[in-house]
Amino acid sequence: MEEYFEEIVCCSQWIKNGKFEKVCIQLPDHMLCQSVSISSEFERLLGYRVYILGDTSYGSCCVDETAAQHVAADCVIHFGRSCLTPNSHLPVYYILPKQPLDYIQCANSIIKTFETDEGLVLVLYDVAYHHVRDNLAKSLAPVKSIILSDIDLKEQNTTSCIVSDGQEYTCIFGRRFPNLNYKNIVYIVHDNYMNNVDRFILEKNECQVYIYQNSCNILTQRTLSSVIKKKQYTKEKIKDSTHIGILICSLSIRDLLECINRVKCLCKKTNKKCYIFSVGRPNIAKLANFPEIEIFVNITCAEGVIENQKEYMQPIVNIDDIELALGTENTSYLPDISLVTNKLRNLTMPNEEIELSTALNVRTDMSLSMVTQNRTWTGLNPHDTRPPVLIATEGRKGTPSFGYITSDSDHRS
Amino acid sequence: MVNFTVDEIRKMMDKKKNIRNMSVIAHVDHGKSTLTDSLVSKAGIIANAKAGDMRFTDTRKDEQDRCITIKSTAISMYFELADKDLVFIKNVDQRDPEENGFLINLIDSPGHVDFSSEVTAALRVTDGALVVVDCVSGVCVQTETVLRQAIAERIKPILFMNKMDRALLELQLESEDLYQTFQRIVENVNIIIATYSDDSGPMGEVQVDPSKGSVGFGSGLHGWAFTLKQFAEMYAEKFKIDVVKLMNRLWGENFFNTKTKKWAKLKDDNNQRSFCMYILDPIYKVFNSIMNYKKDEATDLLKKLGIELKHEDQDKDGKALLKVVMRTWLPAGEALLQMIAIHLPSPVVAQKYRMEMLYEGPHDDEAALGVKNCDPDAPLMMYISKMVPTSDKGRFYAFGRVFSGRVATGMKARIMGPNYTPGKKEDLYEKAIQRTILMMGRYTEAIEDVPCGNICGLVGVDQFLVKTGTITTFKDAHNMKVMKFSVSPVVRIAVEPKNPADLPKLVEGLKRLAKSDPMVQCIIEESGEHIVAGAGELHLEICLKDLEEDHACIPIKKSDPVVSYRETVNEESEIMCLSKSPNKHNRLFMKCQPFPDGLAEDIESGQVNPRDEFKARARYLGEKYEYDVTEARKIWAFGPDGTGPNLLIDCTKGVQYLNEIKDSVVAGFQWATKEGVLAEENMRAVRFNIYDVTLHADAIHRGGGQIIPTARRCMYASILAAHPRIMEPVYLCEIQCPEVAVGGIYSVLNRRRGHVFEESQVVGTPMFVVKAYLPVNESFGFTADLRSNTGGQAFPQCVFDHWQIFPGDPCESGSKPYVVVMDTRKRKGLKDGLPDINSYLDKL
Repeated sequence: MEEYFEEIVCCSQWIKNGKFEKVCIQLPDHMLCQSVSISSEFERLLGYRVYILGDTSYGSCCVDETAAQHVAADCVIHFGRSCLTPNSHLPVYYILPKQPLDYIQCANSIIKTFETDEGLVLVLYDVAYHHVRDNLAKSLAPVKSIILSDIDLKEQNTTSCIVSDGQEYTCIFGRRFPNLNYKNIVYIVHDNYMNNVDRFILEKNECQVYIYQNSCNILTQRTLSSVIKKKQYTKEKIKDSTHIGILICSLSIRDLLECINRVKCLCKKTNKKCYIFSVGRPNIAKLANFPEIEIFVNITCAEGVIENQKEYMQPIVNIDDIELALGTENTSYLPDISLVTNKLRNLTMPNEEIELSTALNVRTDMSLSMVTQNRTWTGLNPHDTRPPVLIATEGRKGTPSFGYITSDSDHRS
Repeated sequence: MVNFTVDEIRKMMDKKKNIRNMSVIAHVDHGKSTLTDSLVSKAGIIANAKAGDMRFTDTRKDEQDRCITIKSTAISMYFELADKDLVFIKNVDQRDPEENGFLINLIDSPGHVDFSSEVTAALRVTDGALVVVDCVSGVCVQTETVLRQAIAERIKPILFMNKMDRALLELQLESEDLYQTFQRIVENVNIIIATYSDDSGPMGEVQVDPSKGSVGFGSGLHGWAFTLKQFAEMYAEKFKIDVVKLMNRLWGENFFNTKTKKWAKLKDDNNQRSFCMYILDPIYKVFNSIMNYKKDEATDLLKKLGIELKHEDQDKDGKALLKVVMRTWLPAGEALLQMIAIHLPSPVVAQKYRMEMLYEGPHDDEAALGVKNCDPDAPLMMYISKMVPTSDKGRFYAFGRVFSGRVATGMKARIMGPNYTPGKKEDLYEKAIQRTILMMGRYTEAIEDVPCGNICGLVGVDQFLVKTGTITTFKDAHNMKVMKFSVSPVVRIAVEPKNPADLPKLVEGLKRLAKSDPMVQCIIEESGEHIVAGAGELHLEICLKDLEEDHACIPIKKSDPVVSYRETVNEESEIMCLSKSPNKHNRLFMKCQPFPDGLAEDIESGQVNPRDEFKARARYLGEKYEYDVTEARKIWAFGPDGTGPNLLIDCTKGVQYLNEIKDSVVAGFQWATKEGVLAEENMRAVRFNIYDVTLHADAIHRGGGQIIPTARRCMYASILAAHPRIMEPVYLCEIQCPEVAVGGIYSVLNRRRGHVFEESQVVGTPMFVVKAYLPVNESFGFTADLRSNTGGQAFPQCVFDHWQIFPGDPCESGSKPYVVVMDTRKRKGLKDGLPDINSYLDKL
């Protein structure tokens, strides 16, 4: 609590400036215990009550705008690790976690490694080290070829390029740095939060990427050749599939709808069926309810990652995998051999389907209903063979010894 | 050589009774291609003057260099039977009464086991097979394999004993010994034939019999050959006996006494075996006189035999003269072509009994009847058995046989791949056939159309098929049956481009390679490695060379060969395994146990399969494997992929809602058997029993999401509780060598975990045959190792035979299978260390 005191003061100033009246404080699960003290501090400074958002429906790194909208909040104060994904409309104030970093030692290691290297070095760091950025910048200042990135907390830029002070800046994954030709990238990581690093590696694949871990104080090179190799398989798998599930794993992405539409459009172009799934935080049991889906596309923030993916029935891929596999699909409409199954991929040509006649035609059905027809269990009595239910009518009357009388005739038997 | 125009060939194609489609099959180095040459030089059809080279059917450069056939190649021949020989053809469907000429389509196939798939593809499009056996080494493992396949495909065999020159010149066998050798080979061949077919079957007489003329003798290299018919004809006039009768006398236990002029059935001092006396003696005499340079005797002999030499040949002596003499006396082409025309079936005859083996659909629909009657006016039915690369990179000729109707340039046809099911659109394309072509050795010739009973190539359909397929014009046609290969792709090599930027080229190349070979598999593994899987080292070597030079055209890095493994269990699960669903409301109780011996093979061969009627299948399993019949009736699934050699059996009694979760449990079973618990390899020969299930009463709580992962976990637990084992593929290895080398073979095999199960001398020769089982994993470099240990005298032939349990416990760290599991896990990027049973098992 004490460590955030300064920020809370700044923040309440920001709230006052913005004239926000309904304020939500979003806390990650491990900080919920401090919620009372944090909120009471805010209330003391602001003079009115604030809302606490806990138990976020997706990852706690994203701003839970949906929950904030339930109280029609004006702004959100986000505590804890953040993926810095641009959100759609609410103003957000990030209060980042603080982890100790021996910045002098760190700077020395970086300088030592690249002393003799002519190329430009970009230094990126985990959000938890943002509080020592200025100190780190000072320590790295002697070497001109080393450039330290910044975290862009306030300007939620959608454009990846901005120009200020005559210098072009690039903004990706919440990091801002001058748009230069870097040879090496150093990423100061905290714990095992590697996902963001990997994204940078994939994004800037022309650079050598080193990671610096505070605990061991050495730079190690990180290559993702195994990850990139795996993507080859994923690519083939996606091309093979006919049913794709779009899995929504975060609602507060500014481009969420664009992302979904892009996937939909790619699927349509390659003649695949896609379905949107919003199941909250995905788990094995939830996704296994849809065994007919062959691939799930995970639409999530930069740090959103699904743990132990191997246990899931279907591969879960990212949107960039889809783009890679389907975006460059050849349009020659010739069938292609799949390297997974060694079978031909059935590319039904869209223009061939419509034959030049006005007669009704059976559509080649690719929807799930075709697949589900193969199930042996189709629900309760789908084809009820018992006689239909009738309204009761009067039957026969009588006893065995006197005989019976049927209602429609007086016939005695 | 026969000089024909395309029009003349086309005319012959219509006379379907005068067509013979045949393949030449044999063990490696028994002389198929050389023998084929002698046929081609006699009767090969050439549209223009392009002939005359050696090994005509070896069309690739590496085939010529290595002197080994790699791809099967078709050539057409034309042969006219003399009037006197026509009487031997008795079946009216075997000959057009007005036509003496025969169109023979011959496919020369490779003999090396690694290329067996090519043989399979060749057999599918032919009706008869010329089985060539080296009379020195006798019937070998590959002879048996290909012969067995031929019989299974209902291909009628005829036999040719090759390399008689070696028997005479090198081994110097006595005539009686040579007869015994021949007799034994004929017997061996007939034993194999009898094992897989009998003469009362639909094919009629299948056994080969020298006295009927269906066995030939000779030397392909020297270009001479004969059947008993040739000799019988020579003597018939002299003896005043009918040729057919004489043929019977010339083989078997028939002895002739020259003094009393009497035939006898038993050998005594004064008589001599007729075969030796009338057939071998003259040949021996010719050999003797010429090879021993007895010029006068030879000239005498030639006069007696009525052989007139050409002027330029008269000066020759020794081997060269011998060749010329024998060739003139007993021309190979004549004897063989007669044998082919007389004894092999025409398409009309063969398709009658082959239809039921070829066609998947009902045996009385239009397509089936068209095939059965070989009717050129029926709807088109054509089977594409392989793809032949064209000079245009990445494009292929689709090579196959027209079984019904006719295929024509420009016609619109349905192209159906192996996954096509009638009524669905999967694997089906309707396209026009760009061009129909004749394929003759390395030359192709465009042709307007091809009627049924013939073999041809198609241009323009290759893009719609992977390796094989059916081409038809009949809307309701089913597929022609897919071919069953005798070998499997068990050896794998990972490839990657030397320059990472070439990856797209590699991928494209792999796709082309997958097409060009009937057997090779080009796949990408989950780890992203590109794998080429083939039957053996040689097969892979050729495939990778093709990939590098022809298909991808980039330098390639290759890994060391590895084998694929299977996961299985050794005993029944020690404990009843329980797994709970994620919501804890559903419980599955299962155990697993290994299959009894033979069941996995039965499933793989299709003897037991998911489409069987369940009661009949249960009865079969009950009788053969002592399965409880009530349980065996409740087989829920085969897996992986719905057909694999693992079973899921419902052993529960009276469980409510069970049928509702069947699909989910089956999905979990398919998943678990596809990716086993040890190293995510396929499972094999495991039976999973579901003993009890408790389910939540509310359907929403027992949906697929709850059951599928649970079923998988429960199966994993039951495997781990049942002493899991790794299975490795094993080669059957046949090695021929002289006696001195046998010791060397044993020491090499011992070092490689191989064991010998049969060792015998080839009777009449100093050669030994050693048969051994050798784990495929240990076979890399085996050939070279063997050569260096035996002074180059031993040459092995390895063919995949079965799966066997890798000795040792994979769960015990340090054991060999443990290392295998760990290596595989590492390669696949899985977590280190074996999974713990407790992560899959739940407490009640």
